[in-house]
Order: sequence, then structure tokens, then C-alpha cells
Amino acid sequence: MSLTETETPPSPGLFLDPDLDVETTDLEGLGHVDIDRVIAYVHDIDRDFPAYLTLYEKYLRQRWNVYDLDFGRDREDWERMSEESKKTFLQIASGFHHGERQVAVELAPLFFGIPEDYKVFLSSHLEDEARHTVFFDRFYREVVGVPGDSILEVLDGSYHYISETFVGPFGLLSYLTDRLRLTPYDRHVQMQYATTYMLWIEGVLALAVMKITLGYARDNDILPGYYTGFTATCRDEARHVHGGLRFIRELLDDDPTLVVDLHETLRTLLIMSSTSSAYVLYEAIGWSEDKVRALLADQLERKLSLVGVTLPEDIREMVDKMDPVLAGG
Amino acid sequence: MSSANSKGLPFFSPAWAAAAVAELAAGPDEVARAKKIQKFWDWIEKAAEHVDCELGLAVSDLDGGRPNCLLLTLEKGKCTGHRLVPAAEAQRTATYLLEGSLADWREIMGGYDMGRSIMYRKLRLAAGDVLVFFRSAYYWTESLACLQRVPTAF
Repeated sequence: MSLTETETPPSPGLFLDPDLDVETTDLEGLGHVDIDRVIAYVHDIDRDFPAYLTLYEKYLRQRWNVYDLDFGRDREDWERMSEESKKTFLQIASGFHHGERQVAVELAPLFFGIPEDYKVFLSSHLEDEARHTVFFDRFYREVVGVPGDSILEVLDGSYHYISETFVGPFGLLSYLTDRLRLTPYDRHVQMQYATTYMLWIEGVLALAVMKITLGYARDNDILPGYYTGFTATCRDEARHVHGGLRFIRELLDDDPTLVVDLHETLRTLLIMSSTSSAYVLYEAIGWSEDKVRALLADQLERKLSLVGVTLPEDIREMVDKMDPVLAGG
Repeated sequence: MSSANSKGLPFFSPAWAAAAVAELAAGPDEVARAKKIQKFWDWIEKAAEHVDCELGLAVSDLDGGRPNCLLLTLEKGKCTGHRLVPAAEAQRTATYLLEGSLADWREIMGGYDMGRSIMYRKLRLAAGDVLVFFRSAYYWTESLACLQRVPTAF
């Protein structure tokens, strides 16, 4: 998408530096790293996956302070965006505003039944999700202008942008979390939960939303605070996906029949993802429905390849027809 | 959020249950339909064809010793029977049991968003297969939203 004729060119600020290292650059540097390089970084691993404590060590090095972000220029850019672009942007970004809250509150029951090293890493994962929730809270308050005295009130203020189909993956996650709370050592429930949370919501939906909204900001040289914070969020998600896929791989190594639970969970997610409740004018931010579908299918294929899982024909056909809610966490 | 109508039918009374079943049969109204695209309603219609089950709607802390679960018989997504039973009975027999506290039901009947009622656990799936339940997810949310039209007194 290009800015409409009524919009004035943005002030200079968002430039990309191809020499910055995704792995080691600081928060300020992440504001100048191409989002496509960060998404590629998610897949830049072999099937051994980093050890949980290696991921924890990365977390300590890559952790960023959400209060260091400056949204001053974002506010100016937001005022210049067309109403159509704002609406489309919020239809997509609000899925993350609420998605981050959901994945933050649904993580705790996983602690009980996982390997000890994963418990240590998961503590950092939980802190990340809380920080991401605050990042979106700040963006919606300070840039979009949603009022509220608490995180929940700001969430209330953006809820009307959320599609009715948001409850599909995130409602499923809530109810699987309840089951996990009751039976934390049940491998079947663990697999269903990890497939929904780490593989689908974080590994497929989230990375697609990041690529779409951050690509829009990059291509139009706007919203540098959002770009910086959300790119940092994306790098955090890489650790979560690596840890989650490692866990899925370990479950499958211990009991290959658990692939049935992975497949059944994907069937449920894809059945729910075969409709939408509202049109999203992707063209307003430079995308199309077909391109989004192809992006999601590619993200799913890459994650399944990393855990060594193939799909039966009926699920493959469902992937080709999906129309998933754009959200993440 | 608005509060429930204080002049409505007593919550979980036989009259309230009958009114709830009538609203389920009536389905989403024009206002609800206009808010979502046809593709969404087509999906629900298709999902309903596979809904053959008993759904219990329970209040975990209903006082007065009354039956605290509305047990609905659903055939191809249509309600063909209903009874008020103790939730403990539904826990044993229902295909799915959705349960919430009286305070949560009060919010739901006051218009709280049904999708959020699930995500924020105002209604919890106390019994039933989670994966299969969600294969009809939007059928459930839109059907349960119909209950919000019943004028309810708490």
C-alpha cells in the first residue's frame, strides 16, 4: 500500500541496516533490522533445536525494556494515515493486542508437567508475554488513543476490532489450558496444547501478522516505535517457537503415536479457520487474501518440517482453503 | 455492559428455560446477522449439521436447591428437547457441560460478549471433548448469544 494522496510524506526515521546482526543487536538496532530477516531467523535452526537453557541464556542477552520505546513519531504518523489504512491496521494489530494477553494468562499450567530445563526457560517466556502485553497497551494508549485506567480497560477499547473468529484458536487455548491445569502430566493434552499455542498461534498466526503489519510500516517508513517494539517481540517469539517445537519433538520422540493428537488439533484449528466473519481489506496495507493464505501455509509447512511431521491429505486440503483469523501472541 | 432485566423471568426457572429454548429455535436475529458476512453464517449452518449431542448449561452456585443445569438435546443443531436437572447428573450424561458462576451468568445475560465469555472462562467446559467441541465453535457462540435475548431476573 502507498499512503493516500491526502497523507503527507513521513518524517525520516525508519531506515534499514543490513549489517545489523539479528541475534545480538539491541532494541534500538532492532528498529533498523528488516522484519523479513527476523522471520528468517526463526527458521534458522536445525532439527536438534537449541537446548532450553541455551534459549534462557539468549533471553537474558536479548531482553529489552518496553518503557525505552518512544512513540512520539508514531503519533504523528498515525495522524497522517488514512482512515481506511488505520481501520485495516487495527483489524489486524488488535488480534495481537488481545492475543498477547491471552497467551500470557494461559501459560502457567504448562509449568507442572514439563522437563526441568524447560521450566527455567518457560519462566522467561512468561515474562516476555507480559512485556508484549504492555507493549501493545502502550501503543494503543499512546498512539491509537484508546483510553483506560488499566490494561483490561484498554483491551475493552479495542475489542470491537476483533473478529468473531478470534475465539476459535484462543478459546480453544483457554479450554485446553483448563484441561492442562487438571491433568498437567497428560501427554495427549500437552501435545494438543503445544500444537495450539506454540505451533499454530505463535508459529503460524503471529509470524504472519508480524510480517504483514511490520512490512507495512517498513515500506511506508512509518511507526518506528511500533516497528522497533514489534520486531523485538518477533525475536522473542523465535525463542518461544524454538522451545515449543523442541518440546513437541521430544514428545514425539518419546511416543510417536502422539502425532495423532497433533493432527487432530490441526484439524480442529483448520476447520475453525475455514471461515471469517468480516472482510479485511488487505489491499489497504499492500496484501491480498491469497497472499496471506500462502504466507500462513508456508509458515505451517516450515514448522511441521522442523518437527518432522507430515500431513495427511485431508489436512493438506484444509490448509489450501484456510481463511484464518489474523492474530497472535 | 448492561445489567440483566430485573422484571424478567426468574433465572433457571421452567419458564426461563422454555424461553431460552424458544430463542435458540429462533436463532440469530437480523441485527446479529447483519454484523457478520454470509460466509460466517454458511459455516455455522454446515457445522450445525454435525451437532447431535446433549449440551448442559450449568450454574455452579445456584442457591435454593433448584436444578442448576439446563440440559438441551440437540439434533443437527436444532433443540428437540430440554429439562432442568442437577449439574451432577449432566456431568455424567451430557456430551458437553458448560458451567459458570451465578455472577458470570449475570454478566452473560447482561450482554457480555459470548466469545469473550469463553476466552475469559465465564463459561468453562466442565465435561466433553475440547477438540470436537471447537469444531463447531461459532455455532456455539452464536447459539448461546441467542439466550441473551431472554429477559432474566436474578
